[in-house]
Amino acid sequence: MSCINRSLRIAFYHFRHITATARIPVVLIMVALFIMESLRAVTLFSDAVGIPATPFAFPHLTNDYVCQLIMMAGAILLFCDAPFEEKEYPYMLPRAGRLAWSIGQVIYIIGLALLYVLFIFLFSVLPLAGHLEFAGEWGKIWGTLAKTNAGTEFGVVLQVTEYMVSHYAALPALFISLALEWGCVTWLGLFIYFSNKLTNRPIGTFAGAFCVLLDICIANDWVCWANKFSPITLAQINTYTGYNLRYNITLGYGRGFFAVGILVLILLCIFANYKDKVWFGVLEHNRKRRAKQRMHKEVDHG
Amino acid sequence: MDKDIAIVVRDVCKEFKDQTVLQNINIGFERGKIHGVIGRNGSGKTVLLKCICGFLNPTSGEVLVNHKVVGRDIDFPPEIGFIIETPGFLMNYSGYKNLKYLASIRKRISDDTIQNYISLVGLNPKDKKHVGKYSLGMRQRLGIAQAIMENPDILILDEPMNGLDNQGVADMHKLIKGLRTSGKTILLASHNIYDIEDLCDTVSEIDAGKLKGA
Repeated sequence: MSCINRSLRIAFYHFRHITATARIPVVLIMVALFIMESLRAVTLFSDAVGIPATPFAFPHLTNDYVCQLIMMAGAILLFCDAPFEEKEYPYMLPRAGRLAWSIGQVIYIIGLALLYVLFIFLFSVLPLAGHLEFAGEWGKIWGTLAKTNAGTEFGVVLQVTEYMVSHYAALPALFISLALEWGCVTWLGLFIYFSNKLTNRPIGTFAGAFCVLLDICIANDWVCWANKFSPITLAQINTYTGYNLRYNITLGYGRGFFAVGILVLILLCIFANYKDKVWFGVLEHNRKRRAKQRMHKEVDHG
Repeated sequence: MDKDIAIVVRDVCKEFKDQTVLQNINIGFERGKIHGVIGRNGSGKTVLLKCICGFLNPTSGEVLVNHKVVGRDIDFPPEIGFIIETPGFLMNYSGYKNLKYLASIRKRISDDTIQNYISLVGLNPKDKKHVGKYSLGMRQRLGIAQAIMENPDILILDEPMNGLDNQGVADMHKLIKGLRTSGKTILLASHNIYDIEDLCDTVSEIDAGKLKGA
């Protein structure tokens, strides 16, 4: 219990740190501006036809690979300073202990990922303010954009696919998208943390950026099976359709990928905090073994 | 093992890749005294202090704090308070809030105790000014308050007078002497010969990673 309490305090300490630097607020502002710009044409369309839109832009935003690129680039910037060892770190680590410290870091990553996804969701609704109707279904605007090319006349570049609208009800699509996006941002955060911590270099940040670019490569007719290993692609509902099904890339696979991946990464992140201790133990063991061998040799010679 | 020795550094070597920073350091620090560690920049003072605090594991040898091997028996000696290099704080919070957040991790001390320690180092605990607006000397004082607020038995102070004005240095000398009187063991690394002469009961010099003499 005490370890969990200390972990939570470490996580809260990191959250307090968010406002201490300009990086995270700037990232959030840029992502928000991008989303607002992406949805501006939808509001123009809504105005022109005089029909309000339902607040279900989020699943379409995550399915659009350009929007996903920007949002995930934002996620990379959120976690690029992992393992979050600021100047306060030496004063916090001994107070918390290594285990509580590492669990606190993991809680912070999962919490920040959730806040980030909720922030994106909020800004997928806010630009539609004044053009909103609250209903549990897609509504005419999203339906028309999905099934006709009406959007092109108003400059709607957001990919609103027929597959999404015809295969999923609006609310389940929203909740599945939110869960997949949260899983994806958490996966990225943990992956960056683990790789950076293990190598003491920003390797994880670069590898995370590679994961983001992998999605674009796949979207541009790259090999289909690569979808299986691309977290950003697996966060999009449209991935679970067409050719991908031949490779068993189903929604169940996506859920499993994130659930197992996140669990394994959590354990690896905690382990990464013990790497020096493990290495120290290995050295100690080798030293003792060599001393023993020397002693045996001396006894043999004697 | 002598019960009056708080810290034992035994055959400690520390290497970073090809560079040897500490070579066969053997030294014991007696309880209840102020021990000075002097040496030029890059001589290995801070690395030695980090090994004692548990932030670095020696490549060979061992450090014992209160008879426990650091890195094997314990990760970080719980009875150590320290200030190493420039203290880091949340810049957009007051000094009091910063210490409160740090103290809340262990929850060993009350808010009143935190305020008392802030006053003890010459800062105003009611001051709402953010640490980002503090001078270097004020941050250093806050760093010292952070080190002593949980009443640790052993204090490790690396250049604690950095950025302090003459009055600040005098205050800190008085405070450190008072801590010795109350039975604390203090390791003080400093460039300033006046600090060492005025405060320390023993002095050890590290030169190019080797202990020169005690």
